[in-house]
Amino acid sequence: MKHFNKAFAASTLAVLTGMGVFTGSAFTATPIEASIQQITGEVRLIIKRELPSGEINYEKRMVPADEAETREALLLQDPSVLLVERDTLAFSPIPMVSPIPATSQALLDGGDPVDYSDPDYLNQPYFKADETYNSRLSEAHGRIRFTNRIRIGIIDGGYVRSPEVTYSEGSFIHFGSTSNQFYNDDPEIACGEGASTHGDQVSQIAAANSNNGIGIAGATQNADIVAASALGCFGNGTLGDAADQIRWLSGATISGLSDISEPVNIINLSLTAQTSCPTYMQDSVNYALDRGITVVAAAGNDTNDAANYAPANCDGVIAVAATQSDGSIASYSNLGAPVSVSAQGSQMAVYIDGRRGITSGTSFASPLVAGIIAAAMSERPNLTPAEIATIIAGSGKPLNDDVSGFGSGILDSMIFMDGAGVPREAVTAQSALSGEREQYQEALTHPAAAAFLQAETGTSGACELYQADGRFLESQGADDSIAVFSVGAGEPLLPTDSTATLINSTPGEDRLIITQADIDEASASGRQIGVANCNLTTGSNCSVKANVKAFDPAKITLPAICS
Amino acid sequence: MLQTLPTPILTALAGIALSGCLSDVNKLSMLPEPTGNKPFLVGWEMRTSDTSAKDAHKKLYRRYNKAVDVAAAKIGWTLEQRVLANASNLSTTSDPERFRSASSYSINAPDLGCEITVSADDRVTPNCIVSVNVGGLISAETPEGVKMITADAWAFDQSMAHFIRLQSSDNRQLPVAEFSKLVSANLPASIFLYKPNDDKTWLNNGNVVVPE
Repeated sequence: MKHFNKAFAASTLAVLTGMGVFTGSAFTATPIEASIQQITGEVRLIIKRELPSGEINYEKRMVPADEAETREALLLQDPSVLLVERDTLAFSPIPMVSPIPATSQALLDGGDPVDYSDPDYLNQPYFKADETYNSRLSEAHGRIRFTNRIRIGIIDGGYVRSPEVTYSEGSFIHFGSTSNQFYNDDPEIACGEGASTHGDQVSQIAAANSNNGIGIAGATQNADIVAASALGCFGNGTLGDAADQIRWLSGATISGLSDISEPVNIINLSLTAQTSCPTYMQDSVNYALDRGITVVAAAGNDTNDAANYAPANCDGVIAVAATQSDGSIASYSNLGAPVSVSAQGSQMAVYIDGRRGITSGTSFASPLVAGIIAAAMSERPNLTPAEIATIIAGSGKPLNDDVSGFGSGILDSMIFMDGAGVPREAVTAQSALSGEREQYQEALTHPAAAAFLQAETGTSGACELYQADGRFLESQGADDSIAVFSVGAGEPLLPTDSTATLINSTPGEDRLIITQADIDEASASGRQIGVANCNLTTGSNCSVKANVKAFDPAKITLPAICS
Repeated sequence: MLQTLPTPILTALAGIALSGCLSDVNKLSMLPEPTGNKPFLVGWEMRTSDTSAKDAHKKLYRRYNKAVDVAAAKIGWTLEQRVLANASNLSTTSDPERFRSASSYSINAPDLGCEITVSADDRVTPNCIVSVNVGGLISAETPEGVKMITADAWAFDQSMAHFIRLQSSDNRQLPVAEFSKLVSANLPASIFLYKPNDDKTWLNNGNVVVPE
């Protein structure tokens, strides 16, 4: 990765200034980078003229800087004038400071709420934007591309064939019986009519197929759902079977079962048993955590202390209490120290036996949280269980109720995405030559300008320079920097991330230049590029919530001069 | 529809089916036979004017478990209650058809080869169990206090069955018929058992019911 010092941006701009590219507001420089224009208040014009004899002649004129544009225009009206350039200290370490193009605009991309066409979508309050007491998931979905498939293991019972949930694979462990069949109507399961569909309902909340004309929208999209049945046909089973399913989902070999094709990323357990966390369950949870798999569990529905219910009370588990859609606690929900976070669990719309249904319980709050985690992981697949737990602890908001023991509060998916380093918006890269005048085409290839660019940037021409515009970041301060940086694939888009590499920064400024080579290098290794407006020294305000945005090189539009 | 009181209840044992609360055995011909792939049946006559379905549910759950406990003691088995996941997990849903409770017992009966092993990590592993499941009652109100409209009707074929089931994990032969009769004998006279997997007969007070 090539690192550019602060002088790069300004010196590059100086070259372009010399070519008469920029107009508009002043570009502030540090004192040591003072330009000749700042020193003398004049600009030297180099005029290329064809004499009557056919001979080419160059002449130089010093003109007041504020008259340069007018003088250039007048000169270009002379038929003998082929070109007017501005002289620069092209090979000087002290570059010129220039105005920047007024035409530069950073375009916002994403960040708007996403809606779904599913018929019961409007009955999913946890998607609703701007909700004080709910998860406002539609806003978070506006930030996520869902390009990475995240795998969610649902340990439950009662899986049915339905267009609402597509199971990628599954297994069955129930009192000594094992099978890789898992649907209620599979021959080896044979639940018969009227069996529980609990597991399917839980799966729907987490990742129902969306925009499919039926049912609801899932809390995440493009996910692999793995059905791990441990509750049998009637919705109950033993913790021992559930513990074995945790191991199977984590990639362990379980006697009687084919190994899972690939371990899951998240495990949801919408089940509880009134007991302290057994050793075998804690060991299984640890087995999953050690493999980077996050474990989410329902707090339980007995209006009791969650500390008495496993697996919610096991160490390392994200235990979820249930709220009503208005933010009050659900009357049945267990609460207490083990609870990590709360989410809506009452009056949850689901699709049951081909009909609309409403169901309630911490069983459904838990997969809502699991789905939100999966959505974040589709952008940040490297998040560890410990990191997720930390982010969860900071992503809750107060309940509309006077209770305690609800963890960090109602999970706000927008805050969670902030914590996970998912940018709220993207700024679009623009060519630094936006607004270029055709008359200066030759200047782009002028030997002096070309040499300078090559020496300073490694580029062959100004067409390979791009501008990051920090003006569209929401908060700017004089002590902050505008920085373009990259982070590793799947890592939080934060300039303070351990994988972050600074491409270029400009203190106290709102625009800077990077090169195509920077973009290519970052893109080739799958790194993500971001623009930050914060204090890079202290890390202050360097969060994606307001001051960091994605830099989207895919939407660069080059001016005609570069084609 | 039966017109008699008290509330009739039919329950199935897996191997044992529960039925119940018929005031007159002469009406046994009205007892339903299971159809389709349903291992168990349950039926009762809902009356909203007295005991709520939720209270009835709890009462039935206690009676079934007590009957199992007494029957096991009489047959010489030692039972150990298992810690079930979601023993009542759906009891707080607002979907009344999924109101239910469950319990399960490990059986220690060396003469049958039924043993309970406890591993070093606390895991209890039996090879024979008896399960009790109480479900399918239409709740008169949700646990959150929302009143539900219910009608007086037999509730056969509701989704969640009542059953008491003997099961072994190693296909061990278990004395289902004997145990069924003992369970039936320890249930109130109003409750009838059906044995869909055995000889498809009804039991009441520990005896096979002979239809009219």
